[in-house]
Amino acid sequence: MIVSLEWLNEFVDLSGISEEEIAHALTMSGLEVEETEKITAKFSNIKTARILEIKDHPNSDHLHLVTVFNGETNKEVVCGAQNIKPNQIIPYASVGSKVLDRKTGEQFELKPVKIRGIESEGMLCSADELGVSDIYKQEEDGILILQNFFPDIEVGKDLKEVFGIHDDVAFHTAPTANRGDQMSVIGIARELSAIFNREMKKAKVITEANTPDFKFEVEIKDEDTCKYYSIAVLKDLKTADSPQWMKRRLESAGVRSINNIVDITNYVMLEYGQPLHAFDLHKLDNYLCVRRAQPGETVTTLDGNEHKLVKDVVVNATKDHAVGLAGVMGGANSEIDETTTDIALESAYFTPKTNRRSSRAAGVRTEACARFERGVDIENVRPSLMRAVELLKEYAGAKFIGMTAAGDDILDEIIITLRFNQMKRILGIDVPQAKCIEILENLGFELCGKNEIAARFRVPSYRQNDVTREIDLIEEIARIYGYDKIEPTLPSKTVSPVITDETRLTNELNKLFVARGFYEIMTSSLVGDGIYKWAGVSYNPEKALKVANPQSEDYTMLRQSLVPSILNVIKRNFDNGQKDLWLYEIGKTYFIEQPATNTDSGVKETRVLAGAMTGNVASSKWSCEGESVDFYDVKGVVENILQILKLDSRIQYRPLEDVPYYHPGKAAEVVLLGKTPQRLAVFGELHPDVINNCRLSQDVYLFEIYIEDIMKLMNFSTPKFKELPVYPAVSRDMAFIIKDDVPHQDIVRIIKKASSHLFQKTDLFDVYKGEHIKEGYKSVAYRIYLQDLNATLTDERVEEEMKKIKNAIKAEWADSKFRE
Amino acid sequence: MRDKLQQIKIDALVLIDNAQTLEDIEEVKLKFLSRKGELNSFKKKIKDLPADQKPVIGALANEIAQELEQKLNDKLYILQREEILKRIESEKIDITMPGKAVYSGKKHPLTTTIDEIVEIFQGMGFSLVESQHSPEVETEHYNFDMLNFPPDHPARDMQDTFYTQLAPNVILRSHTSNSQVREMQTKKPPLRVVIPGRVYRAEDVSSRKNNLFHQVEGFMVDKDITFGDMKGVLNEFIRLYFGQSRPTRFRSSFFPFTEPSAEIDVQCIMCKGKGCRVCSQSGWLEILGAGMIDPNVLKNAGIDPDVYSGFAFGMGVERLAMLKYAINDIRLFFNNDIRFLKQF
Repeated sequence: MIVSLEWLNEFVDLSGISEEEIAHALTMSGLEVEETEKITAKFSNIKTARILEIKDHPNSDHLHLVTVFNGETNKEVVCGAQNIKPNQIIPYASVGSKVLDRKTGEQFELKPVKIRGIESEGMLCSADELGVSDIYKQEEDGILILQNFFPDIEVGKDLKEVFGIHDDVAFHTAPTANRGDQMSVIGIARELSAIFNREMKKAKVITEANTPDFKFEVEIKDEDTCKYYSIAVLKDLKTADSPQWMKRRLESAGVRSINNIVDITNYVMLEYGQPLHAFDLHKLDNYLCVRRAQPGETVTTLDGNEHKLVKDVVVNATKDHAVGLAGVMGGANSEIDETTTDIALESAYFTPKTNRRSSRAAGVRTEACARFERGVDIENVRPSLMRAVELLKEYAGAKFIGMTAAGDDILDEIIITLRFNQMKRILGIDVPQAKCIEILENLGFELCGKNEIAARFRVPSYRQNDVTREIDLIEEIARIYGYDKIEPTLPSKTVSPVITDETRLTNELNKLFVARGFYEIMTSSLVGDGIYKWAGVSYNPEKALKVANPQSEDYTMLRQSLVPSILNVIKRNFDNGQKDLWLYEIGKTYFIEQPATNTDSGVKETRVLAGAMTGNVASSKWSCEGESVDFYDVKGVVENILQILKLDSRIQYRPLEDVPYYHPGKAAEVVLLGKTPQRLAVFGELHPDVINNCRLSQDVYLFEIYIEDIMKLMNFSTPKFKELPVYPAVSRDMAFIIKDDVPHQDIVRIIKKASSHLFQKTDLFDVYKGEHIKEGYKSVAYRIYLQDLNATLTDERVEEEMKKIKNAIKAEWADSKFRE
Repeated sequence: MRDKLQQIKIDALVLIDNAQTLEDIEEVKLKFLSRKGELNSFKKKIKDLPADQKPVIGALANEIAQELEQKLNDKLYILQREEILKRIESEKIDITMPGKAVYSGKKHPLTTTIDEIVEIFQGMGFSLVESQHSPEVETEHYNFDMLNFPPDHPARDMQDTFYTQLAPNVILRSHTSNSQVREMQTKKPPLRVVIPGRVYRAEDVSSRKNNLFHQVEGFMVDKDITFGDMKGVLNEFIRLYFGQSRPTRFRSSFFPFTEPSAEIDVQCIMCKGKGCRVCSQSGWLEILGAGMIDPNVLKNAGIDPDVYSGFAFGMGVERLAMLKYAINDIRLFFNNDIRFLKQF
């Protein structure tokens, strides 16, 4: 809502208060002023002048030399416009005046200038150069011929006066959703009267008796939708321009002037906050009702759109058809036009809830809805109507025939008790009782009684939508008294925060990945079909949570996998020439798991740790060539994480073949050993098909770790110290040739099984295939660590142990051959 | 004999003096001072001298032996130094060449921001509630109803909510406030909680708006918690987050779940209150919404509003990060350009 200072001053005297103070006070008390706009002429020092003579410019075939009389002397001006004739009265700008540049719209000061050798004593102006409304534009953007708009214009007048431009200020305010009363000049004035403790000037109440000719009936068919409905019938209206002052006020509020009838309805809405609607009387058959739409019914609204209606929509209707969306927008079939002389003017209280539902169901939002859905002042419905009647009589020559209404415009009283000690309890400060009462009275609350501990207030009709409880009164007092008067304090008690295992784990994982050179990414959890298809990743459509009102097809549902988004990030970075990427994300996936209830969506949100590695392990290293990331780099990361989470002894790595976007020969799953083995992570190389389809220029390795499942398995207990061994450990190496397809994991299993309690660990330290090794075989070397915690190991003990291990390997794989 | 001895000494000193390398020194040592060296051979002959000369010559021989030893050691020291210096000289490297790569990455700037915010509140006794108690897919019940949004009230339009095809009452939460009542229902006061999380709004993506972003929600409930406490705690947060004491202002606003409600502005960090493009010339930046928890919300959560009071607040993580790091496009956070991520 935009409101001008001049208009506000009509209801509350704000003299002596600067516009900055007003804007600040409104903002601080809850009506944010987003902009304080200075309203002033865009030109200065321009007078009306009469054209006396037009001659051709001696050095140009399209320029003229124009002699004008500015009320004092004659001036000669060079002018290129083709629409001028002697005797016309035009805006004349002398040297030193300010006008706008035609092309840029910037203001500039007129300097003495010679055009084709002849000095021009100023210039004649077009509407564009003055910055006045487009309605003053002449054909081909010629000079503004003032007589066309102001028939009685005189020479030598200041153009500001001609246009009725007064310096003013417009406050662009953003009313909150609870304050319908602040969507009017009077409402904002009332607020200012409370803030600055200045008296509100009451608008006069107009009454008018019905004539005997009046015969119009109204009816509310559904009381839920409308509490009060009134119609005034006016005849013999003459459509014309609105008076200058009204145009100015509308323009200051950002509303375009159309004609006197439309302007007056808008004017009253802005001033009183009550939307009005004018119907053409002869399109109504002297009857209007408010009812719910019948299914299938259609209405074409003023904007030309046809709406097929559902039951939630509330309409105005004659006996047999709908003529508008009640409280939202009028219908084309009852619209007023240039030929209209008689109107039915509607002023009503449409119930906020049903109005909001109705406008949403119809998909139409208007200034009227913005007010009705917040709640208009029901006791103001009739005064607003009569204010419009008064203006139409005065400025459109209307004859008042009569008015009628249905419903009741008197509200039940709301009386609230305010306990003064609650001020201290909620706000932390004592507001003097007299101050509390003064503030509330200035806001229109009526004091009904008081003693030392409490006072009772009657809520004015225009605040019944948002003030119903004691806490609401406390807020009213606090915001007008000023939040800045409340001293900041800190709660006296101290409380220790709880830090959960989940938090610790997340922090730990972040630290680990960052320390290892990974960058954390955050991708959109809203995705579309497209990205799944692009990445070659499938999703379960039955479990996919789809959005009902997506803004674009890229964001239609919540993701079930982080992989498509991660690939997308990789692709974008590749395209930007960034090839070495180690990325991770801890993000949620979403699956519909159970039917929704009133309090539970039934959607399971699971956090997954996923990431990718691609490019060189050590890029830009000058001492040796960078080495490309491979499967074992990504496996190393996964292993390390599982080790830190103390799960390494309970898991097994198995080939991963059932996830189609992984390379079937270079991917693994991590399985938790147990009765029902559980998948804790998958990782590996991206399938070559995906690399090709996504046009990725190099291999990519992915990992997905199901951290929520892991969290359930984790032992968060504090580790206990074990005595350090006194006797040294010994190590022995063994190398053997074995079939290429024997997995390392199996060899280790056999080594462990064969050895005694002396066994500590074994490391694979060499794998060789190629020359001197038979096709289909590999040479592997293991280092075995043995330790006796109670004695120094003898060579014999060690040899015995090694022999057992070697024998076990020979026994398991008969064709294996030890290399000595 | 004396002359002979002197001659040995002179010969030795010349050689010592001429020695260029450690090997030269060894040679001299061998020649003069070793078991079979000249000095020793000479000493063997002393026994054949007359008795009165024996001690004199013997003493002289020892003296010379000592002197030569000393000279040799001195020379050895000098040559060793030279050797070391030569080595040092020859081993000189370009220390301006880069070190061998040790890589570390970075957390996403939004995670860093959330962690910073949470840490400040933890310092004031607030406990962090993680995502599992704070669902992103939510029912209208917790997102709106329990938070005192009346049905069909325009306040429900304050946020452009994403509805779902699953059920009419299932939405993507429009704010992290959905967790307020969830938390209050499961725990008893005194309560101090912060809840970071992702929220969704049905808005067109632009440089200023994204259809999902992050908030940190927080609230405190106890006996005697006042608006003054809210001002104190939030001022403290702003002081710690922006690194110095900046003027703030609390202005009246409206949220259905708080009463009285406030929006909190901090003096523009770009122009220091003079007015610039970032603060739309106002000199202030809106960074927090807050208020005293509405008695209806407390009641909905089973907390008696006549006994307990409290305040709640919420802030946009992206906005705070954009202000702090002077980032001008919210989409950068979700594009994950590595060149962007490396900057923070």
